[in-house]
Amino acid sequence: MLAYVIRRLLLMIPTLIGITFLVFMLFALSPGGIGAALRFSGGGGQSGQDARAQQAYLEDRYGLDDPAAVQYVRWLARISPIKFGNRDQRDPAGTIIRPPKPLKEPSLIGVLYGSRDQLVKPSPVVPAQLDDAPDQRNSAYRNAASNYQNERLDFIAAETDLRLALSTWGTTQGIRKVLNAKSKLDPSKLRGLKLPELVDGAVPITNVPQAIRDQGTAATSAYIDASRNVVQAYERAIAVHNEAQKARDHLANVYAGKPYPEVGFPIIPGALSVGPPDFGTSFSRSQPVLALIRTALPVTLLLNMIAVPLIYLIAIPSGILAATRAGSWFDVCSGAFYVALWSVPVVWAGTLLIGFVANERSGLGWFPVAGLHSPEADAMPFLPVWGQTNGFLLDTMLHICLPVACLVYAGFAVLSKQTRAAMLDNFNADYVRTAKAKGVSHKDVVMKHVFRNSLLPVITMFAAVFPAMLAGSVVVEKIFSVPGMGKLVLDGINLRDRELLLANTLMIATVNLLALLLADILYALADPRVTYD
Amino acid sequence: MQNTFGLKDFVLLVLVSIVGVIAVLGMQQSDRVWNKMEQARKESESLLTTAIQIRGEMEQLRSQQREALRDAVRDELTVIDSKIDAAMAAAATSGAAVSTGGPTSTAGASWARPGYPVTYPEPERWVSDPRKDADFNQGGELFEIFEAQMPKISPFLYSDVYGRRIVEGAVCECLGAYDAETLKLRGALAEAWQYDPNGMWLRVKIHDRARFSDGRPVTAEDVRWTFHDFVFNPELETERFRSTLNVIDHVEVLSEKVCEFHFVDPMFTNLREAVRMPILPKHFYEQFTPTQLNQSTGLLMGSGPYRLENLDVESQWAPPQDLVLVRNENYWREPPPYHRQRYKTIDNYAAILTSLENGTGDIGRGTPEQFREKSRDKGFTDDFHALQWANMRSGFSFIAWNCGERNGKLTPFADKRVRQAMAHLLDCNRIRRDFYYGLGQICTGPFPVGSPQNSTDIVPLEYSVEKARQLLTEAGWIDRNGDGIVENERGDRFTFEYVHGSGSTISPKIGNYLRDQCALVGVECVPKPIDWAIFQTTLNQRDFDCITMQWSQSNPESDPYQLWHSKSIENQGDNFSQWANPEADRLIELGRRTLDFEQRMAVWHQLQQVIYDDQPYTFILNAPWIRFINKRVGNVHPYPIGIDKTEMFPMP
Repeated sequence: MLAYVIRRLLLMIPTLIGITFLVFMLFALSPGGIGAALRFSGGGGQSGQDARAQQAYLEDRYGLDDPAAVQYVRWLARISPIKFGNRDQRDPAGTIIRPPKPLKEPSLIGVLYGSRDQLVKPSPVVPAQLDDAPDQRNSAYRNAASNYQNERLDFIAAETDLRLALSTWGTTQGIRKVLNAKSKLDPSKLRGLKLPELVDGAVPITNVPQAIRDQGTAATSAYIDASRNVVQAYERAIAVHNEAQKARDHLANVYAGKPYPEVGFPIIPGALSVGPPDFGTSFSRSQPVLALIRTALPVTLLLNMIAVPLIYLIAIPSGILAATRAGSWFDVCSGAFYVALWSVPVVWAGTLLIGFVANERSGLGWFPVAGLHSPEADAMPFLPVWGQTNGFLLDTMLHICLPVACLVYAGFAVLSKQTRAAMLDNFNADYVRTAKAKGVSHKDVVMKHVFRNSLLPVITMFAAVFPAMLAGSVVVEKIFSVPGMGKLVLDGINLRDRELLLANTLMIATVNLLALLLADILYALADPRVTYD
Repeated sequence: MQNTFGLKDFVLLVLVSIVGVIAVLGMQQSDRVWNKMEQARKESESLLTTAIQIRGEMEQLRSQQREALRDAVRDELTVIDSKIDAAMAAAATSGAAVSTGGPTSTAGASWARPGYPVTYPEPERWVSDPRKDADFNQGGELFEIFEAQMPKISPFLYSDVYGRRIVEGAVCECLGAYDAETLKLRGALAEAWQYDPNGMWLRVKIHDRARFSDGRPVTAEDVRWTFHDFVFNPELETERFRSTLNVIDHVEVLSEKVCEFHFVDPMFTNLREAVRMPILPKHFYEQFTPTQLNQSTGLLMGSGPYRLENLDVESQWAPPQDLVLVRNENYWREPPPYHRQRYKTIDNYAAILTSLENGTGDIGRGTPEQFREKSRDKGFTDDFHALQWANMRSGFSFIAWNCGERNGKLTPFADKRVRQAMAHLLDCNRIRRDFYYGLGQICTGPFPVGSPQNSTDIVPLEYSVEKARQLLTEAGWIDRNGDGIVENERGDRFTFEYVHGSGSTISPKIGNYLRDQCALVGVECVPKPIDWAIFQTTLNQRDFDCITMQWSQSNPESDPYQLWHSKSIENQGDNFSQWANPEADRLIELGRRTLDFEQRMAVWHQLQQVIYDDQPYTFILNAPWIRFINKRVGNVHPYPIGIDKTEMFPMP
């Protein structure tokens, strides 16, 4: 059994990697791609160029401009508890500090303009000798980091300008869509073109291709302007790149001097270590993903911890009852009633509940409408005081009544029908007839023989229900303004938020796999015929 | 031996679990008590520090009193003198307009640049003074329901309109503020300013009395720090604001209360961007690391009428809690009547309305359908204000016609006559009546309704199918083969796609209406909903024939360059209808560099006429703001700027 469990647990690792990879690639390939929401919210109120620069900054910060596969591998390395290479460091505020990111080169340098020799190359890392006092070490790092960030942003701005200049330059030569659907420069469109040579900072008319000169003076002067802009943009981009490269080298040296304590536990120093997984920061909310899950998960758990047992407590006894009295009025009515409930859409039911049960003017006004607490809840004692206040506990309970009702009502049908069917199967089995013939009491036949043996399908159901408890219900959360996991997951999808989505996928997939494993173990316990040895 | 689980075991299990539950609850309760104590301790501590500060300030004041008084009288005399001078000069030249609002004087105060006029803007005011109301009352809590969860309210780091309402509307102050009624600029933290007639610098004198909610004075260094070390700190995620504030080159501190903004280019937006930047307390924000600030959700402190109670990194406000603001008792001007403001999020409109009706909440938004139903309900209107009005921020909806190429081929809308024909086909009154339930205001241009920028002289194109048909015929679109669809000379059928966001409720209705109207003149229109995530991509790629959406403004005067200049076509700019008009380009360039207010407005009015004549967009209407407000809130007035919550008071 133990060997089986360990094997299953180990098998989970490739399965999880497969699941997250699939989700991630589906995401990356969907229209708009990762971070599409950034592009959508980015343009508001700013001119195109500013929005573009803003987008470039954000993409740089969260590494969104790298190829999707690189982004995925980087994510995998961060969440893996086994880390390769040097250990990360952690600052006093709890932020993980990593070595500075490498600097990209200006677009198409060496192809269209100049040569790559003009760029300063990264120099080998020499750990800086830092002061012993932690404050001094930290501030040395802070200064270097801030300086590099400044230079890097200058470079990104220059690079953005360069791409726009190139795009304009391409347009003057009749090339369409130099910027692709994701507003990125498509270098393949510009290959084969040549920048005209400048003489004294201007393009002489003789250097303009004949094809453009044939189009008239307007086209020619547009081409000349665009070419000059490209050259200037290159000059600036190269200058800024070199500054940024120096700042980066300095920062890399300071980082290698270990300004902060290292994270995790070394196994082979400098090569292999064990450290806590880092789920990263959601770029749509700039909050650590774990903090977001930590606020949303308890809400969902609270609702489901009440809703799921409630479903089981009502559906299973009524399933048993329906089976023992198969064909009676109770069987028919309860079956019809549950199926009727199951057919009512949650959206409609929720709105009706709000309108008729929660509304004080046109309805009963029994329950609060939205949220988890009353405004006064903070000032309430925990337990109710008769005639004075509902108390925090009762207040919360009143608030979750309607959402729980919505979560519960549709669940009766499936579970009670399942129980009923399984029970009926067993009622007709030989061993039941034998038990009856032996003179075992009806109660014992039902509970000890039939019900026990009908548990297997119920266990299977549990394996499906348990992970759903964590995922939350989008519709119910939306109707009753409950800030749970469903909304978090949906936001992650809508905003194409890589970290949020991957962390949620990983969590839900893990719980699913664990639930399946648990169900398999429970089978063995419930049914002695099942063994895994 | 048989081991069965009997009744006794069950009772035992239940008892044990009850004991367990009681133990857990007991612990919770003691935790809560402890928290309360901790809170009380912190509060008493902050009271103590305030008291100490007050004592120090009193002493300081006493010593400065005589000197300050003398200075003030002298300054006041200079001001009065200069006002008289200015008035006389104005009378003499009759109509040398004042561009920046408020009286100016050339004889400067001691801090001013000599030889340049000083503007003393009228101070921020309540349009309707609550203290003059017979029922005036103070205290209580104003409870507003928001329809979407704001992820954060930290200044310059928030990303939505709700964050802005909290930061700019309640907790922070800027140097200047818009008048709720006239939309003119008034002084807030700034007592006076000098604006370079060439638009390259702005010198600002901050009010001597202005102070942050912790009692420390607002200084010129705070202004400089906010700009250079907060907004333009590359390690903070303030990009959204950087890209509008980049008209400012740098801020220079001249003395404790005087600073000078230097601009990159002489643009009409300079003054507004400079004085509309919320000023943050340097001494408060300095203590946090960039990561703490980036990840903060509720680190917000300013000099406004309300403040947050808890400004601790560990226990700051975070969604989904209700946001509670308390009145800033240190506020340096007339304090607002409500002692507290509460903001809760309910993200569906039916629940918002029910919540308001149950008395949980004072202010909430509604849909046009709800408004139509509730404004007729006598029982409801007895207890609630049902308000709808178009204002500066409400935004306008439109259909943009692609005047350029789509995938390398000109659309039929490249011809101005075709666009005009479409405008003749759309009966905006009917759209307003049927789809917006008679709410909103039909608009004829992109500028904020009620602002001086918006021209009221434009004659709307009449609804006329006949004229539309005639224009199409002129443009060469005639039914040449008798199949009921018009064709051009090459025999191409006139068929186009109407693109709209898939989440919208009204856009598909307009699409169906457009399709029916087009059918009248033999044009085929195919509505095409697309996902919001690819909306921007569609716009960038110009991959549409016509598209509908809504723009909204946050300033009374918007810069038309971004949407209408032909330069904004290239590189996937925001002129996505690819409309190029040399006259419009000329007017935009002229207007942006015209610093005189009246002259600039005249230019914008001309521009609006050019745009309207050419119909790159067919403007539909300004969507209304709909608010339900409980009548237990007094002094409720809709303004062109929205609503002013600081002048509302609780009815007795």
